[in-house]
Amino acid sequence: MIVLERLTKSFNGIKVLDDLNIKFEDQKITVVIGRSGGGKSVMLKHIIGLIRPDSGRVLVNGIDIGTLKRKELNEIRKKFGMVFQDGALFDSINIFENIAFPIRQHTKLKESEIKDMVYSMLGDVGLSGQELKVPSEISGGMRKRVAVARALILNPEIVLFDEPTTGLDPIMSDAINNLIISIHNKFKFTGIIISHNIEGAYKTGDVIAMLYGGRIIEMGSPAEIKNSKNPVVNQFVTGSMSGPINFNII
Amino acid sequence: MKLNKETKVGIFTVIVLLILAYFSIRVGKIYIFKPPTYTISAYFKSANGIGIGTDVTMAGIKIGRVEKIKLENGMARVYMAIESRYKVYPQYVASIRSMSLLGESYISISPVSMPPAVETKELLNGETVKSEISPQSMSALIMKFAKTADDLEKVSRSLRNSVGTKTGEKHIKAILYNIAMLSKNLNRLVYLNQRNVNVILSNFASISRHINGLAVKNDAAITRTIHNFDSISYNLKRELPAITENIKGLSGNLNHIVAKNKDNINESLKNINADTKKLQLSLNEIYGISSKINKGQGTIGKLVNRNSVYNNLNGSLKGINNLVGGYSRFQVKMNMSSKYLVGSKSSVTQVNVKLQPSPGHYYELGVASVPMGYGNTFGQTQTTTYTTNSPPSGQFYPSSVTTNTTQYTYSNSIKFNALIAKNFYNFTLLAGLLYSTGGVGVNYYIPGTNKNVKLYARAFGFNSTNGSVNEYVDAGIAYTFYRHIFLDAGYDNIFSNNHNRSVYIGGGVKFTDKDLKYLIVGGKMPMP
Amino acid sequence: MDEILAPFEGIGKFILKTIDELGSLVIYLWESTLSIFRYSINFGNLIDQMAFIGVDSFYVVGLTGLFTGMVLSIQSYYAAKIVGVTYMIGPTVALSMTRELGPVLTALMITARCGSSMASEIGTMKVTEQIDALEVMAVDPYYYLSIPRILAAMIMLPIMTILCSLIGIIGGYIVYAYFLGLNHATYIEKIYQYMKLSDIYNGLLKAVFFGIILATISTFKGFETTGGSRGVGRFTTQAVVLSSVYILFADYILTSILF
Repeated sequence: MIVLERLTKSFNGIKVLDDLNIKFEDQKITVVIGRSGGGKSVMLKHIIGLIRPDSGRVLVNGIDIGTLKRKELNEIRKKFGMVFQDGALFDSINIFENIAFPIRQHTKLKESEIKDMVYSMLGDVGLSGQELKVPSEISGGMRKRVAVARALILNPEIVLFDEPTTGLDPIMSDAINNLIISIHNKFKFTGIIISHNIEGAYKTGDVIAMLYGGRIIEMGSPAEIKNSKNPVVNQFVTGSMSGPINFNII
Repeated sequence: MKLNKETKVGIFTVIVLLILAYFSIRVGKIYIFKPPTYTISAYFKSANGIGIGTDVTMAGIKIGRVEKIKLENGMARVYMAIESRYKVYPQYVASIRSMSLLGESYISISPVSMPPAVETKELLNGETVKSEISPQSMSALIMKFAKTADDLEKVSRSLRNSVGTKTGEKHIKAILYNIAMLSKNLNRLVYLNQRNVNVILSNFASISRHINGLAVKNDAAITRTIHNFDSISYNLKRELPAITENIKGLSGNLNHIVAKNKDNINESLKNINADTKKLQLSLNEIYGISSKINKGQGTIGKLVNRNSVYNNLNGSLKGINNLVGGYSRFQVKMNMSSKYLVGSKSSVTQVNVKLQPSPGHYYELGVASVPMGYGNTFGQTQTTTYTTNSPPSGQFYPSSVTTNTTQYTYSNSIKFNALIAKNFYNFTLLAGLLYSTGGVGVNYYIPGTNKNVKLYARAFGFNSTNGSVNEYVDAGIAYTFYRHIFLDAGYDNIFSNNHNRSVYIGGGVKFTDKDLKYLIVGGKMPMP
Repeated sequence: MDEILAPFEGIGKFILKTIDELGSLVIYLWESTLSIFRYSINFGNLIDQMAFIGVDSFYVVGLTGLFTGMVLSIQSYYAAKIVGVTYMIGPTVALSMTRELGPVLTALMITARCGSSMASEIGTMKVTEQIDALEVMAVDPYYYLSIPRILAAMIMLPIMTILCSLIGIIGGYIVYAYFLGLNHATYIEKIYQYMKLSDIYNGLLKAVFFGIILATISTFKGFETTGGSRGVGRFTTQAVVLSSVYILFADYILTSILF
């Protein structure tokens, strides 16, 4: 259970998160939608401790990670997997090593065991036979898959997805969404996806939350969000130019 | 073969570390296989420039190194580890040397005197080797050079000050002027004296002619004597170049000294200046005297100045040459004197030549111009008979000959002296012809005066043909106050009964053969 | 008024920024050092970096040393000839190389070659969120990226300095014996005579410090990188310039302390 309490964060005097409160249910996929640059990524980084809040608390299984020391934080982080927007693959090593990286860092498994795990995961994400390529040689979609594989390889409790479908064509986006659903079914992790792709959110999310103006303004099942009376949510969901969302603001 | 990264890095690192180790050993003079050494030590006044690890060499070959340096009683005790295969003996000496002006120092151990073969016991571990006073460090040497250069500069500056200034120049000019004057005067003196000598020689000629006349039989002896004279002058002539050479050398030395002692030149210049002035003064005096004599003896000059005299003289001098044994023993002295008789207000002037073959005796020949009534002087037309007494030892001289001569008649009062003299202690006894009469005399040299003060008494006028003339006695004192100049004073005709007695005073010059050398041979004084 | 004060403000800002940067560097170095104790050293990474800084830099360092030694030899020849101390060329070259030029040139060459590479590599990782990825994977990026580089530089810089000095002395020897035609034995003999162990080891100690400086600054600047690929270029340049300046500055300080 991840709880963000009254989370506030400013960058250069601009409040990105303003008294944000949200609860993420275990073993469910929560999709946080919002405008680009609306603070979704900042929120995500708070959850994993990459950014410390100005005020408020980030509780992971009841532990406030904003006050933890690095070593304690790293212990918490071992429960997490994270898929970065562009994959954030280590471009100096090949796909196999990228996926094996967390294993090598945190376990003392034998090379054969590592191999088994990696090949199994490669099969799960549909990248069998691509393990010796380096990240620069593969497509964006494949990179996302590798990133997912790397995030899931240690079977984390919580997996964070930072814009998993951004920059991909619709077919590939759908394929990634399907992948997320399929691995979620398999690994049963608590998923937090931030996205501005409303279709993907409907498809993957058990719960959808709308982040606007630095706080969560609506949270509910995809159906609830689709039928929200909130004009902001409505405008975002329908993708309309007209509405309360002021383009001049951010 | 494809090496993996670990191996590559490992090999690379190991190689480099081996290189480092090798050079560390070489540079650090670390010996893994240390040759066996023993330690000796030496005391140095200063261990300046040496430190631990400094080389110790013998004959330029490294035999060890400095192990440690300790301060002991204000001396540096340097311990040296010497390789055991090199032996150091107690006679050896250690010294600190420097490789070059800029180079570092090292310790050199070297044998002093004894060859190694002689030595028996070598130095053992912990013993001390002698140390030598280290050769002066370069900086000290440089300091010395600088100081020397300073001194040189000072010397040259003071020289420049003494010579280069106007006073110095003036002094030098004065000296040169004085020297010029001196030489001029010397020339003049010589010239004048040559004339005097000519006159004297002319006189001699006439003497010899008289003697010739007097002693025809003994002509040979006389001739021999005269010949000796010639020889003397020849010898003198031969001696001259050597003397000239000496004087040249002297002047060379003088030059050298002048060049060398420029430091003292100011003082010397003054002194020399004063000296030359004095010298000039005395020369002037001599010149004055000799010119006076020249004038006073004018009559004699006129009388005997005939060419034939020279011929006679030549012949006579040959005789003298034989007479005189050797140049070394033979001395010739000449004096010219005048005395003024106070009583008769007249003067007696005479020139005498002393021929001294040995210190014990001498012969004196002379002419005198005397006033009327002096000795056996007569009127102008008086015929004179010349006689000579028999001197005690007349071996060479025409003694014991009595000849009546009538061929010479003089209207004036020229008298001749021919005496033989014998020295006994401080006395000299003389006998012979005195003022053309027989005469005897005695001289007494007051002891301790270097024969400069002489008391004398003479008696003459014996066997005079003039009956009215009695024996004549005078006595006086002569004082040579300067080398060539003497004063004379006495009482004349002491026993006269016709009030002819008189006090006289006089003086004269005398020369020895050393002075005469220049005069006789006619050489000029060499210029300084 | 503002225009008059502006330059002073600029100077003040510059000084503050420099001090701030130095402070950050020290903190960074401290953090990195602490991370050594937090985790065991990753030898694989270390070996990688040692190979990169050491073995792979051999040619650039060797050539630098060679030509420096040759130039030193020929330059000191012109000076030594005047005073007539050509036998001192060997010690001149050797001492210059071991005490000064070996460490400094090696450090500068490795800064240029490896420091820039470190800064740009880490900078790129930073802008592509790889650093964040490491963090998220509970991997300390200082431990994972900085420590191997700093340690490798510390170890390899002296080693490369030894090579640089040695090759430089050999270069000087080549010029001395073959181009200038002087007595080759003198060259070597005088080096042994005038060189002390401290000359070598103080030079190597310098190299250790230079290694720490160049690796710390380069990785630090990498972590500082923001602003995409342009930022990577900018921070890489900063890393090289700052490393070089700090190396030369430290050289002066160390020289005055050590010699």
